[in-house]
Amino acid sequence: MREKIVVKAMNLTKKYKQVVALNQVDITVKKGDIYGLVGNNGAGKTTFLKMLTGQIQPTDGQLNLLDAQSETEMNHVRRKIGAIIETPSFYPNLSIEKNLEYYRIQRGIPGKKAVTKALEEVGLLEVKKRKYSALSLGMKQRLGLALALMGEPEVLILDEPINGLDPSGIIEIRNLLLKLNREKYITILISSHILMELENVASHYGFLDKGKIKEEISAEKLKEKCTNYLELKVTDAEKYAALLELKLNCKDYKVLSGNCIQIMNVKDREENLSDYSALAIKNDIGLLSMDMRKIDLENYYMNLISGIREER
Amino acid sequence: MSNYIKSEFYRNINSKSIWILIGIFSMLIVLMNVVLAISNQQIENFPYATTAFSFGMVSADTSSLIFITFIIVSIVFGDENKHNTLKNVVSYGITRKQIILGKIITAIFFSLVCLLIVLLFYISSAYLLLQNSGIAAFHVFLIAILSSLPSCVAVLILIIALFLIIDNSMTASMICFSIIILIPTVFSLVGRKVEIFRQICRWLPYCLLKEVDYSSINNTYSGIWDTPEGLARCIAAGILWSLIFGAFGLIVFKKKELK
Repeated sequence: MREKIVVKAMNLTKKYKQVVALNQVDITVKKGDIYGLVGNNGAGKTTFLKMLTGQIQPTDGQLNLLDAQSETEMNHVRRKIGAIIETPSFYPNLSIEKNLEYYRIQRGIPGKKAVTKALEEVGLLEVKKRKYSALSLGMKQRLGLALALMGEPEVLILDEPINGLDPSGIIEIRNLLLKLNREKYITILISSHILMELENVASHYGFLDKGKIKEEISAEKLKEKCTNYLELKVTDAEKYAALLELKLNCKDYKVLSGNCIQIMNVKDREENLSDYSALAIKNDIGLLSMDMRKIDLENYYMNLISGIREER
Repeated sequence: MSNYIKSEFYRNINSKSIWILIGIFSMLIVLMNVVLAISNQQIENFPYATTAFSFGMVSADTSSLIFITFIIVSIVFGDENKHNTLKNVVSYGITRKQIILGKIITAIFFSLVCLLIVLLFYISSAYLLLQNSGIAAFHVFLIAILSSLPSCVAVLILIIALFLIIDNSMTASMICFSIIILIPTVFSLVGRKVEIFRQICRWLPYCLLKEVDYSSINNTYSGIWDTPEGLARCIAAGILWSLIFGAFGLIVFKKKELK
């Protein structure tokens, strides 16, 4: 069975005078995915999410949301999404409960219980009478999530949803998102600077850099790619690299600045490691350090971005 | 759009600022009658403690209603951009057209509620505290208020449009003040010498409401509303500027990128 596509961006471009915020971006999010959008500040993550929520319009390209294409259709299907873009925004002089009630009425969600349920899900029910202006950043973020969750959306669009949350808050929200995804099959599009956190929830990733999508990859494939590597610091990296190729027939390595070498796909076994150390010692190359490391999402992203920059 | 209007009603009813404003305006206007009544007791042959004088003060300058509209709308509706709350509305698929129309309808309703409550306090305090001068002055007062309403609606639409379009509320207020008061005042001054400016002034809300004459013989005010032509001009100018400001707001707000 063909998987239903929830979000599809094709050649999506956004320009602000001379600045290109998004450059011919292609993104596909399927139903039931937790899609992690990864990128530095200014990579274009928020710009993309703002287009989905109708805050800004694309300069060029096509954007489909739940099969809707035209602006009128998009506005119609936006009723099925919940979103937090950048910082949560509410009326400061209204209480938590009244702020949510305002949006419940606006969205035509039947029953005041929807407000109570949303507040309960994010752990704000006990402080529902507190004014928004008196809330901490973490509480504001939870209220933003409560608004996004109210009315049981099909798609959640979350831009930095764990900003300002304390460690237990992060765990609670992570578990809540996973629960919503597993139990209600809600598709989640999430951007975060905290890549470790994304790693805990995402089923797919999109890597953005300077307005361009560099790679879309599933968490499974990423796991396969995230192999062990050996990082050596030697006195003469160029010579060691040449010997690596000649004596050990190893071509999968990188020479970094500061006489540092990363040898990829190294198996974490003693006999393997001794070959690399012996290669340095037998050829009069000083071995300053040797560490076995694993590529995580952070390294993978950094390698992807730096690789692209080197190519340029 | 009905849900959006309902939610705006809910927000405004639960917002203290509108009720505080109504309280302040009511107190100030009642205070005026109280001062007249006290002066009447303190000063012998004090001629102004009458309903005719009290109502005449408002009839003489209904342009003050424009200021009041400006204050109410900017305080009650001017905080959307400041708090970036519109993104929550747009992200749910409510169109910008629905937002601007919903805001205008709600603002008109609450401004009228505000006006009615303040007038209720004003008229009852005038009749309770001052000497009744008969129905004529009250009649003029009512016509003056009613004829100024179309201009006030036009101003209200402009304020809402500007507050939705411009992120900085101070800048929006300054531009609004310039369009509503500053430019008409300059046109009015230049109009004394240049005919074309005088003609333009005849269609500007602020200038229209300033067209009032006082007759010291019978102590009455006569304004633009006194003639059918003048009254028609008040209504036509109000509608014309409402359409212009509304269309301007709609076109620009549709293109606006929300933070």
